[in-house]
Amino acid sequence: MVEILLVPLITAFISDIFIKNKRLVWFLFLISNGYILYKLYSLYGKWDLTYILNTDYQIFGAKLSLGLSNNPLGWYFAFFSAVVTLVIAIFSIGFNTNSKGNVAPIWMLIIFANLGIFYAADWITFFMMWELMGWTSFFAITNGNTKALDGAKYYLALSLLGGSSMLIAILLLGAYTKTFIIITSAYRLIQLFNLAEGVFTTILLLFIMAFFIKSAIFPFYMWPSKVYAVGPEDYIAFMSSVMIKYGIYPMAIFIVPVIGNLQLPKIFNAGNWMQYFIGYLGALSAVVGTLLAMFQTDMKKLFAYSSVANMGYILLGFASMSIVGFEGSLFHVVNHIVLKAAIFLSLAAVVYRTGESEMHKLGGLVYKMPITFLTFLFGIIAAAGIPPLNGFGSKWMIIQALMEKKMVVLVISMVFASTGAFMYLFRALVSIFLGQLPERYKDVKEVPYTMSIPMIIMMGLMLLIGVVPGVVMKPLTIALDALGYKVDIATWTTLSSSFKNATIDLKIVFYMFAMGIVVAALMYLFGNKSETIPQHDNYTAGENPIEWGVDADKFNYSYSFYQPFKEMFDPLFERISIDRFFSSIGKNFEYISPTIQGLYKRGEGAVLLFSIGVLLFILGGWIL
Amino acid sequence: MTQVFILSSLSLMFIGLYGVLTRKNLLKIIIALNIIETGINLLLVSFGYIDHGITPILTSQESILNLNKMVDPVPQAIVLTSIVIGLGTTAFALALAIRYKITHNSISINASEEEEGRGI
Amino acid sequence: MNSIVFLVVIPIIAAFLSLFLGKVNKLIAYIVTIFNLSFSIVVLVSGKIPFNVAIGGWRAPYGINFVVSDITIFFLLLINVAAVLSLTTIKEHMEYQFYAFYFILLAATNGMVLTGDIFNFYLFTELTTFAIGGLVAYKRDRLATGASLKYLILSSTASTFSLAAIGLIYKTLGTLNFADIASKISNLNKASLSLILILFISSMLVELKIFPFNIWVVKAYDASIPAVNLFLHGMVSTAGVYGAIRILLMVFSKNSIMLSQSSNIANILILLAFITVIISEIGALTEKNLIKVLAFSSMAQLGIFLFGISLGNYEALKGAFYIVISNYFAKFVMFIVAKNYSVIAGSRNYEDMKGLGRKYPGLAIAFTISALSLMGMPFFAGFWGKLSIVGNALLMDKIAIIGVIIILISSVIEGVYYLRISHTFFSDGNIQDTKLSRINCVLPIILAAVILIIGIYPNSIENIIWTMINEIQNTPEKYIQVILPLK
Repeated sequence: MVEILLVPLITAFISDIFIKNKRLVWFLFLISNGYILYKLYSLYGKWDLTYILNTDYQIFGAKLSLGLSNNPLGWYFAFFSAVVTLVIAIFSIGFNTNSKGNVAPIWMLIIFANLGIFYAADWITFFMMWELMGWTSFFAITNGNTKALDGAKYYLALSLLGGSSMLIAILLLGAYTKTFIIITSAYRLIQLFNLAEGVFTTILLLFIMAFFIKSAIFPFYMWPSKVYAVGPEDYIAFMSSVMIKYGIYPMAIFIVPVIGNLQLPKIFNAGNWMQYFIGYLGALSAVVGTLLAMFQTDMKKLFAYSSVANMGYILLGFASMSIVGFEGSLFHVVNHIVLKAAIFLSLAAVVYRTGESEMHKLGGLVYKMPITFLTFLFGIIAAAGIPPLNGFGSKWMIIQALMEKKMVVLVISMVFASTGAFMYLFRALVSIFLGQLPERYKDVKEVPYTMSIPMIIMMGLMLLIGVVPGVVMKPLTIALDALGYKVDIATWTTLSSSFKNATIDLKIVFYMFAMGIVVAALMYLFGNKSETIPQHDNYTAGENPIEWGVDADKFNYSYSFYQPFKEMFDPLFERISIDRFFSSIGKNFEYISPTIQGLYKRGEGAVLLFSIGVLLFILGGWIL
Repeated sequence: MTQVFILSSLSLMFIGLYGVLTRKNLLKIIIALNIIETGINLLLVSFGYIDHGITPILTSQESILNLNKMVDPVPQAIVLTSIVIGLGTTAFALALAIRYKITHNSISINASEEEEGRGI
Repeated sequence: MNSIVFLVVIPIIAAFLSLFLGKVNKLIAYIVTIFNLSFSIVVLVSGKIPFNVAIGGWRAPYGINFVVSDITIFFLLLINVAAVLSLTTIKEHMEYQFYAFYFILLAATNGMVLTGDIFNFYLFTELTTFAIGGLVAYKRDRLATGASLKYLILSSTASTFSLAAIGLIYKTLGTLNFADIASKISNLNKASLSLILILFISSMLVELKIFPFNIWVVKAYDASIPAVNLFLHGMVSTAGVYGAIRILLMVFSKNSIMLSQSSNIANILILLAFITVIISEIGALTEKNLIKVLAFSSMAQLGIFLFGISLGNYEALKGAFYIVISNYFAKFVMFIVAKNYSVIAGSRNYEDMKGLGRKYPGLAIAFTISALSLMGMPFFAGFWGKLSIVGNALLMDKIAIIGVIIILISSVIEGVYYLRISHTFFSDGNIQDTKLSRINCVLPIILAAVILIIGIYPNSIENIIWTMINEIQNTPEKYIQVILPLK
């Protein structure tokens, strides 16, 4: 089991040495990811594998031991992220043939941290991997690109802040529960609730802050938009799909069981205040993420906010504290991993060919890049939650669970966010792939096979999970069963629900859609023949511009797409900006800095300050 | 008598400290430092001082009987050393002050601020 | 083991000789320093530790004595290794003044660690001051002279307080010997102890670079040549750390328990420590001069160290040792990298060093590793220190918890500015065709590897640190009785 961590480490080291040889490095990257996937596959079911490393290091009077364990839920996260990582790795070979920097070694270190996070048995190991992931991703994002510094700095500061808050939480937890093992500490933390409620709440809130920062939940929702816009695109695909789930995993394995087992008074007969706390933050991120996504002009920023909204859905599922909601959330994790990776791969393909990520400067790429277009189309259908692609099932389960718990406000916000998702997804599709093709992209070609094959695989994955959710739900339910949850092992195609007679069979849904497609195809074949007209005819309403004395100009309606809608929400976002709040904290530190430097530049003040220090010191010593 | 010594030594120290804090002229600062050192030395000597004491030198077999009347020799040894150190400090600081005059064309301690950026 | 005196005597003799020897000085410097280092190693492996040497046959507490205990030998090694490593960075010809001051510094720092007498300790501290003053002024330009003079004035003022404290100690306890003071300290009333401690500490805080006393630091680092930066960091700060541990924790602690129980001064020290940390980290945030950034950061690290030892908890003390070790190696790497890069870039502004990390990746990676260790990132030595200090401070009173929060926030700031510098190294840039000999990259990489090894495998150093803490825990048996066996 240790080799699964050693392989990425060694790969990172080797690729660091041969960093100049791109072909070799990325090939190594692919091989290593393939091995990890294979190894993870062979670890399935062996839930009692553990590896303990004892050290002499003493903390709180006990010797520290670091451990790894094959935790079922950790395996679930690790396996599906490994699948997607492997696909992205294939994509990266083609993508990086003429890229500037080489992100492979540091990315391999992140994969090492990734596996470490999902396989950590104790909090110290978890924290070590967590922090490793934090600073390595800083370097992966900047990747020697000076323009990326500002966004990456923002991410780094938040990430370190989260790490610090987690460190305090872990140490408090260790001091009060006398153990660092994750599972044991969860049990003891629940007992601690009755003894020391203040400490309990502090620990829980600190943990939640760290996890929320990493998963971009509401008050910390703005780092993805800053980071995704500047990082290397293939790495961003990994980051937006896999890395944003790091906060969700510990939520699922630690926070949800702890909150779920507390005996707290219920509000309105629906849920306790902690449920509502998590739920409302989730709902806020879903709504705010959706609204902000609509108003973006950069496609990577748009999908960054879409990720925020999706993290909100997952949190809403957790907030329901019911098994269906929990399953739905974890199912949505995998769905989001797959669909976000697909979308970002297609965006990376667009950027690879056009070098542009502002949506209003693109357009009409549909015939030039058909496979990319199809992948993107599949991705947004999945993201919108339309069957028969994935993304539907999980959202359906989450909404059901919320309805069952009578959390109506949360349901409304989720429906709002899902509807809003149509708006921004459609907008992206229109702006990038439909409309007029700008002159400068006349010679754009489809991406090479190394990049199109991974996208085709992603399409297949989305369809597979959409029609046969069992490929995800079966391992998930088995994992949950192994953890001691009372779940029914899922079947291949049906999704159970929390209401009676509400179980749906996605196979039938698929047949219905297939029928629809067949009917459409028949109509296409036997109906009137289609006629190809010049593109200008579409918006000149049949008039000939030359007759009017004007030139035919290509026109795309894609800049400030939702202007009226934006004006509606502008007062809100103008007045309240959490982004500005966090930035201003950093700015204030930077303003104080020259003052302090000035203090150390002055000569005369030195002795004065020194002696005042001594005098204060003497006075302080006597008074205190 | 000891009280007088201690009080005067303390006042010397505070005069010196005042000088170090308020003077801008390097030479005055160095002089003020010397005044502090003198104060400290006086303090140390007064710690070992006994009224009508005799020199702590064992001249003969009988002088061991006068042990209680002897002043304590250790502070005096310390003071001797500290005078030497004070001398060293002063000499070194003066040498630096000469260099300071050459490089800054001034002996004001403020002179070294100019090129190093703005003040607070 | 009377020959332990050689550690101090030989450098002093060399200092005299260096006035006349001219070009041979470099060789002599190597010989003397390597002698000091190898002699310390011989002492370490001889198995006679702990032992006590009475100078001139005058037994303690009457005469001056040199003591070698576990802590002593550890810091002796650190200082002499630092001396050797710093010497290796000197490539150009140096005049005799430099070597004379260097020998004095070597003698003084060794003496500070070895001595068992408080007045002797004071003398060696003063010698260190002179030596550093001279070394900083070695460049002879405007900046160096100003910085040196200010340092000299500051530390002379501070040392007068120290001398007053020594006088008070002699007046109240009638002794100047560390061990004797330690055994008698419980007779002292609280007010006198506080006064003595405050007066004495204020001079030590100058070398520990704690807030109101550290105004000289940034200037001195900026004004001096790279080798002197390393002396300041590796030898003087380490000796200062030793002084803090020996004097605060072993000499002036009642009933040989930790500082915080003996007087309320611990609270003041914690307060000063975290003011230092936050002020120096914020100061470094927008600083562009790499040397100044490092100077600010070394103040912050020593602030964290002081915080760790003031908590009055042995595990936190262990963390403080980790911080010291991590800082010791990390700053070495960083100063060497800064030196090499600034030579190539022709400026100390790190923004002019763009692209150097791509041409000389070894140095930049070593720098990044050190930076991460200072930030307390896992897998690097600093993490274990942060873990211990933060963990144990959380269980203390309110002031310690505020300190923890401040230290963590400042470590975020530290992360931002250090990784920004690392990023600058690795970003695109036009590189001049200056050749840097690869041999310059070897030392930083080795030191960075040491940081990494400690970080991954804390067992390598855990037991050494516990030996030292054991000595602090059992001061009467392990220290006082070595020197005063009759009791």
